[in-house]
Amino acid sequence: MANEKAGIERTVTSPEPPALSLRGLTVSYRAPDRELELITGVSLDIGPGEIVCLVGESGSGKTLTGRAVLGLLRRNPRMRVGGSVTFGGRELTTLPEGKLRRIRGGQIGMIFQDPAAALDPVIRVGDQIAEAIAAHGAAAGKRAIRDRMVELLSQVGITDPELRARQFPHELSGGMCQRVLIAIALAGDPSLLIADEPTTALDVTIQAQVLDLLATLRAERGLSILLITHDMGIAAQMADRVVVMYAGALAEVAPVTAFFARPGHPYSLGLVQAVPRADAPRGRRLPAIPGSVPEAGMRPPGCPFQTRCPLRLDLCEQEAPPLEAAAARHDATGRHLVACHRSAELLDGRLSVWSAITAGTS
Amino acid sequence: MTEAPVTPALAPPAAPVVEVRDLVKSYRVRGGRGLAVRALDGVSLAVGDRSTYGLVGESGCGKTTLGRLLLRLERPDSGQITFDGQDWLAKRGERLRVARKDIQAVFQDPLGSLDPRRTAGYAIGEALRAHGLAAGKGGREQRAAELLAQVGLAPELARRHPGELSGGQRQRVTIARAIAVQPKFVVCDEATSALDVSVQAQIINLLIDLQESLGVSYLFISHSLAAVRHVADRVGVMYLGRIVEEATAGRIFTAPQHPYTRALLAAAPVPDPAAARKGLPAGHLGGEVPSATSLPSGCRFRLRCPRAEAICAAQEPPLAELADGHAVACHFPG
Repeated sequence: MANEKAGIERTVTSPEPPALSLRGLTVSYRAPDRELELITGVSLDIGPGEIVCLVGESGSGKTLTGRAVLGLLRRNPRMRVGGSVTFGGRELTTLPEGKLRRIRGGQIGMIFQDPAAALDPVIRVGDQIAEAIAAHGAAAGKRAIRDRMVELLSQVGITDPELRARQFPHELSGGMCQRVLIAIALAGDPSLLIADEPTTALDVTIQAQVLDLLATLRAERGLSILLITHDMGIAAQMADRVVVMYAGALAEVAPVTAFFARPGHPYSLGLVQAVPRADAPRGRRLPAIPGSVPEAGMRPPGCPFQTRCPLRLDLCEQEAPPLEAAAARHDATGRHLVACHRSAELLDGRLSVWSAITAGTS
Repeated sequence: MTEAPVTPALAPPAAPVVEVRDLVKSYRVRGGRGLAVRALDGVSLAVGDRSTYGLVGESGCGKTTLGRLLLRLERPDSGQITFDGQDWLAKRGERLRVARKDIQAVFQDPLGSLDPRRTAGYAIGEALRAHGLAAGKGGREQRAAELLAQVGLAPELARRHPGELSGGQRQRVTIARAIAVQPKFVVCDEATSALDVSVQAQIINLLIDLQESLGVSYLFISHSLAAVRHVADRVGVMYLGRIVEEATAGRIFTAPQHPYTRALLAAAPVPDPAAARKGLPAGHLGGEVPSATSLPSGCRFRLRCPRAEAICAAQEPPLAELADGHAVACHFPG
């Protein structure tokens, strides 16, 4: 479709050469009877030392995007990844698996939602970190690897690292397991970290500690982070830029302050306003987006969000809006991109989207 | 200040539908050589008629155990539960079976609480049949359709199996099943926690609507103070088996007194970049919740507390009323 093409070619640029660059990334799944397009042309750059938060509801395609970048979908013969992923000047989508494996877990670190499941239950955590250092790190020799392992454990805020290194995953709390996984991710001295819901399984006070740790790592090591989260609060706290995904496509990309001050996509606005807030004025009902994310392969024609959108026009049912820079009067930098036919009205503040929904909940 | 920490510091609401007093429940630790964990260590609270009590705390604080005791899934070691003026723990056998309809539950994982082989309509019909609430198959089907409509679902969904419903739709079905038997009280244990934010908002709104139309009371158990903000009239904050602060929702959120409540509020990320970055990371608690098998002396929060002093190690602070219905268990509140 012409409009999707426009979305693919329009790139999101950071001032410095990007650490990671996606161009027209697509993921499709070969079902017995047809081919399902799960990701439809995602283009995005992550700058050095930048934290980009990829947000959206479950089923929006954010985890799949992260896995496609890491080449983890190759193991599934029904999945096909198209477009381009460049990292450190190299095209990852066509890189042989052996070389990609050295990058994955090396220059690109990764952490996932369930830390206990990602660790081997029968190997001491210190040995698991040491293994990662031996595979990817600069240290060589038993002694050097051990020193580096202890150093990594203290860097991720584990007190008494010598003792912890000798323990098994089940002897550690969930928060501590996640710190161990971050230590493993850091073993290869990565320049990019892909973190998929890294704190979702943790208690809120422990989540705060892990988020602080990620922010510190960025500040101290210039680590770029692609942080995949469903939590708009985490995005507000951590992101330099927010990327909103819906039904496998980008709905909005914006610097964090601009995004939360005035989202340009009704879906973004819905996501922000639906968050329960402890500091909210004592108003009880929450504005809720009606319905749910369309299932894979059930994307409606035109704008993927039109079936849930309170601002839908006839045009929205016919034409998918391209991801385009907001008008200069809203954003002179060209860094605020929205895929909505009515974004100009939204950014002008001429539309009040969810008030109708707030008034009459269903 | 009172001496005994386990007695309630607060006068119960005028007409409590549920009142619990000094509940204690311990579990033996497997392989712990007789070691026991006190999941509930003297908890008292009262839930007013047609109102919502928000119970907040991190994993392992005992909030789920309290819900299970109210549902009579387990019995406490000691303490009382009064429901609608009657001794709830005294009910047994057939009387308990009949009374069970008055206290219903909605849990975190709707997939886990629905039979995958049975349709949504059957799940609701079963609840009606068990309590003799609708006559005949036709009557039950009609009532199930009404209930589905009441929770915002199309009546056709009665024919679907749980696997054919979205997470939000499944949670609506479990809510429909809970209200089918016209309960006076519903325990919502992390009922919105596994849902996407937009669906979570829908379910929170639905619970509020149903309270208004049916007059039901809720115990709303959640790890998220923010979710509680939208539903609760009173809020209790639990830490390691005890309530450490209790007040009206308005006071908990605007004038929290316990350092743990403050930390919970500070740790919850808010969707506002300016507010979210303010005071970071100084406001965040260090350390982790200690094991309930080896509680520290004195105040159980003191190892993580920025205000802890010598007295906190020596004496456990009682839950004492500070002001109008606002109680806190801290030597240095504020």
